[in-house]
Amino acid sequence: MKESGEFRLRASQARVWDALNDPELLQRCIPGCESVERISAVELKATIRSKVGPISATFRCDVRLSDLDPPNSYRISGQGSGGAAGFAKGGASLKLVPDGTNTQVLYDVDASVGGKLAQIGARLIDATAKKFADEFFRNLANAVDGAQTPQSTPPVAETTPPVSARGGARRAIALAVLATAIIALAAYLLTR
Amino acid sequence: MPQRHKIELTVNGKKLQRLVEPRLLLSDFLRYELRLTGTHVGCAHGVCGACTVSINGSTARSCLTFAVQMDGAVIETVESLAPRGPLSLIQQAFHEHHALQCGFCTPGFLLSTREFLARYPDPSDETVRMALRGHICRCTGYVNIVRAVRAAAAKLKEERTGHGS
Amino acid sequence: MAADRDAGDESGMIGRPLPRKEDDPLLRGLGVFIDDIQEPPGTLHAVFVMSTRAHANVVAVDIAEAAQAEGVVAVYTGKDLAGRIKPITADIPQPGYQPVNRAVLATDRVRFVGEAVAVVIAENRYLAEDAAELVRVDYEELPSVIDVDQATGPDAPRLHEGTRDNVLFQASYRTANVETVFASADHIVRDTFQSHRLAVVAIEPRGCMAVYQRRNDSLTLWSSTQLPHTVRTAIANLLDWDETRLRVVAPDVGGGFGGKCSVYPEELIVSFLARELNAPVKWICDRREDLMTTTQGREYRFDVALAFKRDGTLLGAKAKIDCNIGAYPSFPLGASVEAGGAAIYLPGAYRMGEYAYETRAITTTTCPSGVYRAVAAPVASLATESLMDRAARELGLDPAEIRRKNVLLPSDLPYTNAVGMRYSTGSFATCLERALAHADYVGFRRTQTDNRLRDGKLHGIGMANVIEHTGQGTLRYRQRGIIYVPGFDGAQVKVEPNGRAIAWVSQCTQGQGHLTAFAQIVAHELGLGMDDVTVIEGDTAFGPYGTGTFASRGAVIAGGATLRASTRVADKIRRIAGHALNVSAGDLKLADGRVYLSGTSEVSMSIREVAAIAHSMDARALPESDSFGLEATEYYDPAATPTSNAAHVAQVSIDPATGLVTVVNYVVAHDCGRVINPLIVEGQVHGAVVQGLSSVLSEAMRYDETGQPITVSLMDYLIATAADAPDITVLHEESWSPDTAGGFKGVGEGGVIGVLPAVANAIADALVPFGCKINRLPLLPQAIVALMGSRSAGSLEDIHNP
Repeated sequence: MKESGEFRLRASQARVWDALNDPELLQRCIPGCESVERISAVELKATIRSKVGPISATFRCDVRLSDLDPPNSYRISGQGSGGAAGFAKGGASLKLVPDGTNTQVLYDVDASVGGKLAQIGARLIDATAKKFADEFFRNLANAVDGAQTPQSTPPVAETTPPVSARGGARRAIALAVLATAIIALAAYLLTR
Repeated sequence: MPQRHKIELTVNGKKLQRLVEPRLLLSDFLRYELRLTGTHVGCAHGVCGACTVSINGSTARSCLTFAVQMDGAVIETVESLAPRGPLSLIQQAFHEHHALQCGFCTPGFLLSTREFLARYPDPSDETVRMALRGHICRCTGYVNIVRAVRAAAAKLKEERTGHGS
Repeated sequence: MAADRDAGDESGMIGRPLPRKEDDPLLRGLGVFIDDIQEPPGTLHAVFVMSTRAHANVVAVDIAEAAQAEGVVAVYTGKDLAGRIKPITADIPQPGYQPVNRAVLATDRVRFVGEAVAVVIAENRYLAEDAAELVRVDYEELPSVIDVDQATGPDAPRLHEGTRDNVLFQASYRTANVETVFASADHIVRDTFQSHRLAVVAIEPRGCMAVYQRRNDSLTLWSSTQLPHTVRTAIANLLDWDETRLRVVAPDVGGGFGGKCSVYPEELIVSFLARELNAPVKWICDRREDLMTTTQGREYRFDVALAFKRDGTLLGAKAKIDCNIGAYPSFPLGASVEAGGAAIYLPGAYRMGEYAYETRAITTTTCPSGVYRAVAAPVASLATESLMDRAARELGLDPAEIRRKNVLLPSDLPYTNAVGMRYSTGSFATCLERALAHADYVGFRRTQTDNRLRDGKLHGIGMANVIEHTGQGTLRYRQRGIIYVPGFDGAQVKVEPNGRAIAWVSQCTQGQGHLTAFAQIVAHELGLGMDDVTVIEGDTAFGPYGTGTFASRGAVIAGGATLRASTRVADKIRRIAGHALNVSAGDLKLADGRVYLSGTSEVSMSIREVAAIAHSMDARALPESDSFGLEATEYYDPAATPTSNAAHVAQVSIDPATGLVTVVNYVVAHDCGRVINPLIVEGQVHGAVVQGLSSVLSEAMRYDETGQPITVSLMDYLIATAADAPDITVLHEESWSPDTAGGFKGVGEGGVIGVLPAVANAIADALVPFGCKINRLPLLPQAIVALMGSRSAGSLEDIHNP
């Protein structure tokens, strides 16, 4: 499934790029992110714990960075294996566009989900992913917006009871599990 | 090795005690531990109704219940309807009206029918259909099941009141 | 051999609506289905690790952690089994057929989500499932193709080695004058019909248990199957095992409907493991696994044109058919069974001389398909009947009128249709008239308004005439190239010293009432009471070799064999009694457990006494011509394929706000030849009709664009319940077959065939004010609402992802 969109941050392009480069900040923003391990300049391994309805999974993610054009754009792609729960894979192309004192982050995401998560979790993914994404963006917005209070390790993301539109499930999982997690983790690679 | 818990329960009138793992499903407990294989598992996620038993007087899905939850419970399975001797009135009605073919879903239907007719002794066809929509049957198309339940209702009424309707 | 309508029929058992012998244990909860069988001590449990990718190379399978898990005895991968179990191959010798192999466990490539890549064997099911989750598989994804267009597109990956392309079977045919007839026709109607993927969902999922005896290297495999002998022969061939040491038993089976009509990898693997591990091994499919791995069906595209004269006379048909058969052909029926059947069924119950078809079976990275009840016939019928209704409207004829013009009349019979299928007897026109009359078709039309509204609902009526090729024997399977389906069945009927009879019949029942119907045949011939006859099926250790129970062949072929064997035993009873009573055997009749001289009750003896003589337990002697014992084995193969027929009339109402369709009335007038047990026949029709309704109005097996199945629970795959099913009226006709012993025809599937066209036509009739065409299934509420909005129904995805 494919999804395009944008979100706005109340910070300059440079500030946003820096924030996306700050691995500690990002790790705190991503719900359930447990560990990050750098493999090479453009490759990364990470684990994220997540729960979609009754299905708990630790996603082992392999992430790769490409098409770097700091501070304007880059592409990240990766694959997250959730063991028996299933897998997710995809990529996102990101553009940071200055907009006065704000920055618009434009994204193009493509992703696919398979295994139990796709089969049984589909109706729950939408709600979970939305909550996951909301939490990440809220955290990120707070972080770049000048509020410097370090956040405690966020708990494992949990789902609310499902009220999901059939059509939104794929979009949401792409957005949350991959786009946000991978964006953040890949940004870690941008640090030297 | 997960810790086992002791449960004391009554199944088909018999009191018993067992040690069970927390995650053991009631359907598996009844079928494998107690060898009461009349209760069948058709989906293991509570939709098809084949696993229906009676717990403390109400029908319930045994595939969505854990054995550990049954401490102190009174359970009845299909085997309690006619343990010896003639078939019960509802079972007889199913037989006469050809309301079963492969028989896999039948125990669930019987227990729900018994509960339903006890509460609604004079149902219409439509009420019967609505009441039994928690059970999937792939063989009969439900036509004869509805007829059997209506016939059983009539016979039960006859028995109660001493004369036909 | 023609059947005689003998005068004694009224007093006999055949034809009686007897409640079933099967019922008592099933009602008491004493049925023994595969998961109910008492497990021998030490039974191990197998759980399969299923592919999460629709199409991928298997780079590595890491079983190290799983093998160390608690309670695990062994873990096997495809590579472990590759040299030990041969692949499953249905090589059908037919022009245009490309055979492919299916490894029992995937070795280097997976081709559908759900394909097994490893098997974990542990002390109990719970621990086996725990360990299965620890198996890590590395996949290198390949492009998936989920429909026939993707699989035949220019960039389509070739799914199977050794094939030219993904068209595993194709065939074409044309009669001499089809082009002429189309060129000169007054009116042509044409459309493309798309039917959707269905899962079979017998209420009991599959399962098997293998018990091995090292002492003599023998195996008993219990399996919830429709064809135990074929499974046995497959184990022998693919595991290099002496077939005389193998036994396959079908216990009580909770529905088959074609989903248990294949030899599955699990059966072969479990058999292998039992010998390898020297322990009983059991596998039970859960519902999610069932919805991912049990053969599915009915995903077809029919591009059909019908040519008519101005007065509505049907002249000819052209069809182009594509069938999505999934990742692997099933065994024994192969890749051609759906595509071939689709083409053969299209002419239906109508007089039509000219026909041309092209048909293809195309493999995709989805669950393998098989032979779901009635296979392609319902969709072929949908195409013909929908176009017939449209032609009627366009030519200014009533839909019933155009059918009257074209349905086969008694004067047409025997009729050989455009593809060479011969209809000897049938009541096509009579069934149509009876169904229409009972549904009060004329009354409905009289009160029907142009806007179709009544009480806020849209009302419509639809009809269909169907035929069903039942009881196909050896000749038909040879003609179709399906050489792994024998086609015959057998019965061994034996009277024991106590005068009671046992019949071992080579088929196996999944609820069709064989143990009653065939007992009625034995009781009828031998003059015994129903309590004195026992029918045993499903066990390859007893009785003759056979083909199994599917394709509506039970009554015709097993019934025929049982009848013939019973007749021979009856003849011997008469000979022995004649000798003992000193009368001519030909003058003796059998009834009520006795043999008596016709016309008097003075001269008689009990069948029990005859049996004693036959076992040398009586002072009296046998006639010189006879040996001891009182039994006969007969194999039966019908001379020709008997054709059943039916007419379906459906009346629907549609809620215009929600698109929800309610079936208000449903009538089937149907003819399956000589009826053995009317209760059982009606039950088959009821069940088939509701399966058909469910498949049109609520069931939909869906895959996402990468080939992930996403309807793998019964919360997503919606099956009709009692609240969705209408009351169904079944009217009987009996046109005995002159081609079968007993005059029987088959009945199991015909009830499905008429539903798709009758309901689709009723919905189309209700939606006439909206001017839309019904040519896509399923007809879910969303699709109906879309049609009313004058959009085409679009793809299923469009409807579910607005």
